[in-house]
Amino acid sequence: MNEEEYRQSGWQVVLTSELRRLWLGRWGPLLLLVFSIFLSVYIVILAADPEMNVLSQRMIINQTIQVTELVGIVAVLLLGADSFSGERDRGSLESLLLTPVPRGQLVIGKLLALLSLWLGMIPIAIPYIALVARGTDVAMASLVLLVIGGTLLVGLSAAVGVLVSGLSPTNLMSFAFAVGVMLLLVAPTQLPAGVRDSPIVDWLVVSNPITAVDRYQSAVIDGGAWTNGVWLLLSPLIALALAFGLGPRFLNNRLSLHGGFRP
Amino acid sequence: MNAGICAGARHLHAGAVTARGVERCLAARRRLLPVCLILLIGLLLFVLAPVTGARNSPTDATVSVQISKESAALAAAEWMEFDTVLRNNGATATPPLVVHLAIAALEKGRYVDPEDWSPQRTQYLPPLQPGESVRLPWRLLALNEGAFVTFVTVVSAEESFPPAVSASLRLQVAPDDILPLKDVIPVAAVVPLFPLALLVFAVAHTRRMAATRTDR
Repeated sequence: MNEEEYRQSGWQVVLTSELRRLWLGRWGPLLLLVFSIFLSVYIVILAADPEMNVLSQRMIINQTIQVTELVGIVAVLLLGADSFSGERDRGSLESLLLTPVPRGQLVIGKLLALLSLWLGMIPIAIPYIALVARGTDVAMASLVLLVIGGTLLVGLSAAVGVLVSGLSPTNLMSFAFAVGVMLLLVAPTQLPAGVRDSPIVDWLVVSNPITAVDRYQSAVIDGGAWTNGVWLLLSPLIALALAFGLGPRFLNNRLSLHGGFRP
Repeated sequence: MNAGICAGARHLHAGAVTARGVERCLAARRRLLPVCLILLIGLLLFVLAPVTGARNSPTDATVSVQISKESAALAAAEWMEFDTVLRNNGATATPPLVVHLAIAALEKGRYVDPEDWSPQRTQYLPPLQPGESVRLPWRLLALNEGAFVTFVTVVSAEESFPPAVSASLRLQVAPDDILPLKDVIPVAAVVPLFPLALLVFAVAHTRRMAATRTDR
């Protein structure tokens, strides 16, 4: 492969290398194992705890999807936050930056590799979602919602993680900043119902990708039509498009050995 | 009064005050005194009875409570509905009433939190007129499996009102059929085996690659 070919399809080389490192280097399977054990413990507690009977089956389905997505978001965010700053800390970023691959393509390759973790999580989550949704008319809808909503949110968290990691001088700073951003986005889901009714908070909820997806999922699982609140997916779609479209361009000029915002 | 009796004795004996006449007069006084005392006490009791006796005697309003079901079999996490009909069988209006739903487990040690079983366990009613009846709906969430009993009690802020209790509604709650443990355990146990197998494969692959590099 000559230098021009590297420039055009360098992201594929990075993606292949990252996939090999993720899936054959234990991290991917280990994270999937932790994810499946977490879901197993969660569902056993759900079944065994009589207090959980207060929830209706649809609430249990919605909650299970949310928990699955949240674990996906956190796992991909942490891996994303390690992507460049981790290499900085380990001293391997210099050799990566010296390759003839444009830095924006390095970012794309790493982003797509991170998404493969979510693609591994989906088939593991399916039996759990199918179990809680069995006997309802939203069993198939739950799985579709998991794929759509989860992919949007996990993609976004991967982009946040990689972007923060590309700019952070250390891994610790990268983790702290990435987790802080995601906590800010997740926080409105915990607002009491009374507060959510105010117009300003409602606007914030709709424009926040995480709360917007949460609201759409809840509406569909509660029996609403797929098309009724589909506009709620606009904010996560726009955020994802911006993150994947502008993120690599932004980092193309700014990804450096020491981090920071300077091009 | 004694003078009057003695005057009467004098009149009986045609104006002659004799020793026998005086004796008769005193005897009449002795007989009349207890009678007067009994009459006086009776009069006092009659006058004061509504004041002193009201606290402990029940009013004549009698409320009956009928429950629409005697028993029910349902699964945990299932909702059920039933009605109670309150009727004032008395001749006067009742005071304002408080109707309360109670739930108890029939097995010792079985956990019951009534707040979780029913979102509305107390209903407040205005006075019921004689012969008037009112139907009250109740919703109940069978939260735990086991044998339970629920009943409705009618009380009032007015202390004289005698509490009324409905017949009991017996609930037999089967285990939760939304997420039974017997279905959950196999999924929870088997699914982690797949990523575990993948992890074992990844570790074996890494070791094999390391061994190949060492051989070279």
